[in-house]
Amino acid sequence: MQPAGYNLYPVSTGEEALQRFKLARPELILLDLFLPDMDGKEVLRRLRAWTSTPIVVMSVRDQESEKIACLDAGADDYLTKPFTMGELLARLRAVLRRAFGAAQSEMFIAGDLRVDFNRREVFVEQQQVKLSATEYDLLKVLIHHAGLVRTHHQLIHELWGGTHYHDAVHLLRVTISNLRRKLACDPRNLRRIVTEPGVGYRLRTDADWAQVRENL
Amino acid sequence: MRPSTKNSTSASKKELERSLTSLLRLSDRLNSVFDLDKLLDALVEQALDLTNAQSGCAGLRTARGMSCNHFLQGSDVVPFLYDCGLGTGWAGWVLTNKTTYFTTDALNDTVIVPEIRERFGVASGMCIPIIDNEKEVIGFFEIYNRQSSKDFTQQDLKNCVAAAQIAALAIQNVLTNAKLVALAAFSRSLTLAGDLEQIVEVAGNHLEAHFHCGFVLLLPADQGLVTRFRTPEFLWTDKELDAATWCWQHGREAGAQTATLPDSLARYLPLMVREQTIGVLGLESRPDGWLSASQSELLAGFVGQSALAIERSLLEQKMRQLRTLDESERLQSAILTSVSHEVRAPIAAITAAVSALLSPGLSLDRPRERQMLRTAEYEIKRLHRLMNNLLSVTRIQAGVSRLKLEPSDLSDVVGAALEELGTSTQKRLITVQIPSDLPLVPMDFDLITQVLVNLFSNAIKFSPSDQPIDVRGQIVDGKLEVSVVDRGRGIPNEDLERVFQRFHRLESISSVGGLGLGLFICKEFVEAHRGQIRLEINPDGGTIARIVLPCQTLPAV
Repeated sequence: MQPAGYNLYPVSTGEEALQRFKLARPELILLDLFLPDMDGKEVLRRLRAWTSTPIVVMSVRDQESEKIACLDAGADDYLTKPFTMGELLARLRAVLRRAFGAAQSEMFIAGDLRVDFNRREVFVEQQQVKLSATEYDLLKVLIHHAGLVRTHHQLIHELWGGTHYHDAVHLLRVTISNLRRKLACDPRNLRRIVTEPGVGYRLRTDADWAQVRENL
Repeated sequence: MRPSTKNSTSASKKELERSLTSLLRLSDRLNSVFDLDKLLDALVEQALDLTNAQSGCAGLRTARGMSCNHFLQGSDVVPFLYDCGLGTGWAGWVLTNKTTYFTTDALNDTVIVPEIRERFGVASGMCIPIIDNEKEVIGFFEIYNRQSSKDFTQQDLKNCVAAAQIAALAIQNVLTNAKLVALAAFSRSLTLAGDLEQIVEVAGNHLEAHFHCGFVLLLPADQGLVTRFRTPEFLWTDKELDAATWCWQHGREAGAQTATLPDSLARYLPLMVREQTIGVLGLESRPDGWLSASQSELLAGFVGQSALAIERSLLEQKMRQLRTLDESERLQSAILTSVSHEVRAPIAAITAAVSALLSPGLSLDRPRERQMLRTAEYEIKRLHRLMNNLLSVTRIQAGVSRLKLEPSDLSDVVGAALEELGTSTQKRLITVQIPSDLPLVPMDFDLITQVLVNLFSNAIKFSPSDQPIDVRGQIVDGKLEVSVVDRGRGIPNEDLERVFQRFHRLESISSVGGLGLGLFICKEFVEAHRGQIRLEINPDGGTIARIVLPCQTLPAV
């Protein structure tokens, strides 16, 4: 990671992480949930008690409930092992941009998607796309957290406030599905909004986009 | 208390004839009535006719004593609740003494219920117990004469006792019929009950309906008996458990109304199958609780049938566990023996690439280096996919993990599968035909993605690279149908089924790498969704892999 421009302060236990954090004051914490001395979620909780420094957790497959618990406890995002260096760097960029980024820009561009917030206009491949009010709001929330996962709960809260979860989660799925269709133009672009099974959704940034294209 | 005797022979002869005709008529009537209330009414009517009495009533034994809710006065029906405990009223008296009560001086009688004496102006009367084959009192009937009318004769008394005997037979017939009907209904409901929970529910409903009491069902577990069901009002204490445990250990009744631990609240009956106690049924019992012979038989029938049904469901459960265990054990060993072979290929490729990169004597140019690294990356992804497949299939089979069903967008799943395949889809024309109004369908996103990855990867491997691959999704007969269509050389007809077997690989394609697990895994995952998967011959050449998934939300698997 050093070639990518990051200074690292590696630690190997939860206790050490909590100690080291106070001295080193990093701008971002990458936290493995599986630690030799304590549960990673405990470290997360104790850090979150007094700092808002971005935290990205790393976990293994099949742990949706763990992931949601971490996001609810204040993690900014998670990575599922194994991941590539490209995925890691993209995630870190997204978290940092969200935490320290400049004021909200007037325009969002990712691949062939362009959103003009002032005029509330959305374009795919230069063609304007008509979105319903809810679809637009959803897209805006996803763009606001571009590259980061938003849980079902978070999205429902942001879109509809205190609506009952079970009714709203279905509405959310349908809205996501409609939004996807309106934003898609060829079958391989279907995954502009990525499903994180059992957790939520993530909008791909321009950088993610470039990487997917490279892989395809 | 002695009935008056009449000496006129001709009169008594006539009287006798009349009573015989009347009794015959009673017998005919009672044998054609199958409703207990109507039967009792007919009995009273005939008794009034037989004795020229003015009013009377008949009732049956209940848990509380004797009960009847209306009287007959001439041809009028008079609603009047007449409940007697043991020893109270004439009915209670006959229940205790099992013999007829007779009085000619009802005005000074101390046993009669005063309200009845006043309401019906009783001057003389009798109460006859209805006694069944087991010599148990199962009911009674009473008839009264008013002050001004004639007294009952000895013949009247004899006639009434005879009427009671006829009624006893008829009542037992009706009860036996009802018992057979109830048992048949119970047995039919049990056959329809699938699992233990349903059996317990069926048994509960029937016990409730026929015995009006709370109950508890206990089945043995690792350490003693465990309550599997208990009606809410049932008060459960250690004393009850002691009685139930004794019953289970000895295979004999215990608790209330038995010789063992009679101060329990419930009576515990062993559920016996082939002389083995497989559980215990506890029936809540009141201190005055009473079951007629036919009710006892009904209960025994219920208990016997429940025992059989419970045993059947426990056996089925055990069989299922054994089967899963057996399957997963076989799978584990098959994986162990075959995986090593399949894992070796990518590891060899990675080792070659990495050792080339590290070898000091070998100088590689930049593009060659990149190529080596790409090879390693590709093989690592392949290994990763293989491990994911194996992990998921073992988990699903061992019942460790359940499906995580979420209403999902097929386009999204197809997209995820194509992305996961990454570079191998490069240079292939893959067309996706999914209607934009296709509904969200409940599925485990990861598992169906893996299914599609496996199907795509087969289509890519087994068809020429200049041929297109189609993915189609549509709703057919209320189910989601997904087809992956290739134009390869296809699969011989006789192999269409066999390819789904574990580690089955076609002879003709053994040159292409693969573990032979792909389609087997697809089948496992799709069937876990209660769906179907099959291969068909593509009329245009090649193969169609078709998955059908139910659209409605599934019960937990």
